[in-house]
Amino acid sequence: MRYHVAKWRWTAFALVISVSTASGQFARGNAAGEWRYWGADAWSTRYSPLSQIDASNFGSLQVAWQWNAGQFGDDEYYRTTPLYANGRLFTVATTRRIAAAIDPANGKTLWHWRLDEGIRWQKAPRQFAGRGLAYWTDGPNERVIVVTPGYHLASLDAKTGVPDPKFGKNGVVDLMDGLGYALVPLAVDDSGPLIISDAAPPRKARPGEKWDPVKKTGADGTIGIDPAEGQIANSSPAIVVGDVIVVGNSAVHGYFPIRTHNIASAIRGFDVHTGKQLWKFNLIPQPGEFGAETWTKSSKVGSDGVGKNDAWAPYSADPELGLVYIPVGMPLMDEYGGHRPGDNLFGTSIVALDVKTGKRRWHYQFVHHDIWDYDSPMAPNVLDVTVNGQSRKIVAQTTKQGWIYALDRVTGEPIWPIVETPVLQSEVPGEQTSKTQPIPSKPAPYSQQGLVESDLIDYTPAIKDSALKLAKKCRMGPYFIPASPTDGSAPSGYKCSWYAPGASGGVNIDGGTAADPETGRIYVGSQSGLSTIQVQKDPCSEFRYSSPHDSCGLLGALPAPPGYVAQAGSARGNGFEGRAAGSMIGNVSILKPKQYGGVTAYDMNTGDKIWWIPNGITTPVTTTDPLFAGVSLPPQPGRGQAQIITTKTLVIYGTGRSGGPPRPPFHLYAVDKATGKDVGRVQIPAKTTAVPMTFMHQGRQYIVFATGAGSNTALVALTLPKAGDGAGQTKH
Amino acid sequence: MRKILIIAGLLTIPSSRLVAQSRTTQTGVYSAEQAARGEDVYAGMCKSCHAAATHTGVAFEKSWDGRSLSELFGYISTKMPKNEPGSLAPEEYADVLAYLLKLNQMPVGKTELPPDTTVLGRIRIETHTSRK
Repeated sequence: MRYHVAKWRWTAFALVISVSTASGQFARGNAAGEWRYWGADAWSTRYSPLSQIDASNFGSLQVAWQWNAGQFGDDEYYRTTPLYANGRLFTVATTRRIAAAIDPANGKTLWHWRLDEGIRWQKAPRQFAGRGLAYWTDGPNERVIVVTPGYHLASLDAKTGVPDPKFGKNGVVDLMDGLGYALVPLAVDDSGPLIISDAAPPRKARPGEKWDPVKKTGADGTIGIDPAEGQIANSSPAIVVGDVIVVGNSAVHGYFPIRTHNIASAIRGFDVHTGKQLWKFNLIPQPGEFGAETWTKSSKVGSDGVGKNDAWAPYSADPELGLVYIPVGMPLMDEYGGHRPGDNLFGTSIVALDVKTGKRRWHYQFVHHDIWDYDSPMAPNVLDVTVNGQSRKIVAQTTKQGWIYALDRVTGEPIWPIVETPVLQSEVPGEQTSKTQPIPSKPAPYSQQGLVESDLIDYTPAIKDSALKLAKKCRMGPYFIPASPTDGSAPSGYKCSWYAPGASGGVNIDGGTAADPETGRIYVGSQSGLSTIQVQKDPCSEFRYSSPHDSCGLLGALPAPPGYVAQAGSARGNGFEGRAAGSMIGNVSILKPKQYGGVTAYDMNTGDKIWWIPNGITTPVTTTDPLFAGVSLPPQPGRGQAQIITTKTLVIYGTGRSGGPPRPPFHLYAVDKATGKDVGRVQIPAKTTAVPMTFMHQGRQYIVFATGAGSNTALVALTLPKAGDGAGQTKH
Repeated sequence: MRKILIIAGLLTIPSSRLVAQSRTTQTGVYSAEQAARGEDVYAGMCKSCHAAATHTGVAFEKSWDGRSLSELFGYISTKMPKNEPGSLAPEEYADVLAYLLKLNQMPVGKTELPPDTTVLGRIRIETHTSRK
């Protein structure tokens, strides 16, 4: 009898969901109980109104199924958040970025699709599964939109996985076409991937060149942009707004590039029905375009210092306003900008584009002339809030630099003052840093900013003295501290600078921010690092300065200069050794522990912090260094980037690949979203490696997340035990 | 004369090498399970920036042969990953260390490398080629 009652409850709830979807109850482009966008909806909220899983039953969640992504091939780490739409789960997987549909009830593969991209894939800068895909429907027709590592755009029938024959050429658009570069036949001289940045690149094929199947070199018939222009790829899904697919690109790593020019990035709109390119917006404005003057030498494609500004993170949109919000990455070379003087628009900015025309409505630059690798790393969050009694439509961008930039999403005006503030100037020859940077007056940051004396541990006078002594080895300052040259040419004598929160964040793509459209609160998953930053001449690179690296001997590098002697091991980096290695004294950070990193909740109606929790666990700090004898050391907040979603009542998060305990058991955590109070945790087979998602399928709420790396990648689905399984949970 | 030269040579060895080293990496100092865990960490945290050739074979031998495992552990745990040095747990760095040894054809054993610089300091890196 009890069983039957429970069954009736499930059926009734399924009916409610079915009716609400059919009657068109969409919120922010997402159907009720679904997850149609990478960030749940067009606003990138990562919010679901579902409440079947709540504080009372979270701990009883069970693994419903695991989908073995590794069966299709290897990956780096599995960084995908799947979609759920109209009864199917969609994902990408493996270094080939296959697309697949999965039965959400049992984890069985419904279909999978893969594109053979030849050399385009072999030399793709981002050879991994990617963040996810996009979905479109007009009711009877459904499409899954994939952007591949080799930079093709495919439109697949969501029911079958068959490419849409009306879209592009047999369902595929070559994204290298239409950017303004000529396409040429490609060839390779080695069988390996692109190395780190732009070493070991492909090249233009020689006339008549053939493929050598034994050596796996030569020309395989692949066509692409001439590699002499640079490299381009993709790591994040497109966003679909109405009938327009908005697509950007990623680029080579900016760590240690060899060439001082690369491809200039662009955002484009494509017709979802035909694949026709509708518009293109240049993220490096070309001569005559708005913003070109911010490249004081030249912004022209192919010029010295020109490249990247890639908007590699996912995007957000306000379909009602017809605007898409593009978080833009930085220009070429992470830590030296001497080849590209000026503010370098639209680098490290947010740009609002009209989705129908691709015209810029407004932009806001977060970092002028970025030399800190502070790419805008995450889809911004769209919210409606009430500030000082006034309704405001906002877009909030969380960033690597630890600040939230809250802007009016119609005009781009700051919600709270963002003040252009004088900052330290670079001492690296040829570098012209911006005199000021925009510093938000509100909200307060969620990660360590720079390093000043008051940040240092001072448990005893001796500890304070030692911490200050170590801190003073590198250039200090409140924020935006420029790198120092290792060659001793800086007038101050510094050979290194402090770097916080560091290139990985703050917020970065692994973590990011969930937004609650019901309350106007956001939940920021971030980390708070402190390391050093320095630049020196790479003897075999075109750059005058780079992050410490020796490219000599790499395929595609410049020949070694006369008198060059290779340095081995740690000497190559010319960094610190022993106790001076970074920011530690005897295993103790010189930074005072603060409520940074972890999960920080903000009320975006007021700009105030509401609560903070560490990322899953805190770590005890122990040391044998006599300096700390008798001192009770506080634990360190959890490492890594929390991967957060929010629901009707909960904030649910995984610790990410570098967070939480290093050994099992691993957990998924839930806290009360109002207070941050721990309400439950459930053991999971492996750490989350991407932000989870949740949906309702046949009356059951599921939470699905990616795990693993290499050949051990999987999607894991959690759900509550079925009624009658012994664990009471049914609430509806 | 020859004897004097040998002594002079010893005096130039960094002090860290003078620590009593009872074992070498040719004696099975890590387990297969640890290397497998390390491979997962490596795939997730290291691979996007590193070509295997930069820390295997001759490149590895040139940099690390004859040095202690604690030096290599110290290097990767304070400098890696580039974006966030020191951001992994000590156990994860030890796992990566095991995987690096596996990549360099060091024999597998039954025990795991601990994230303990004192213990690691007693293990000398001996590359396959240096034994010849």
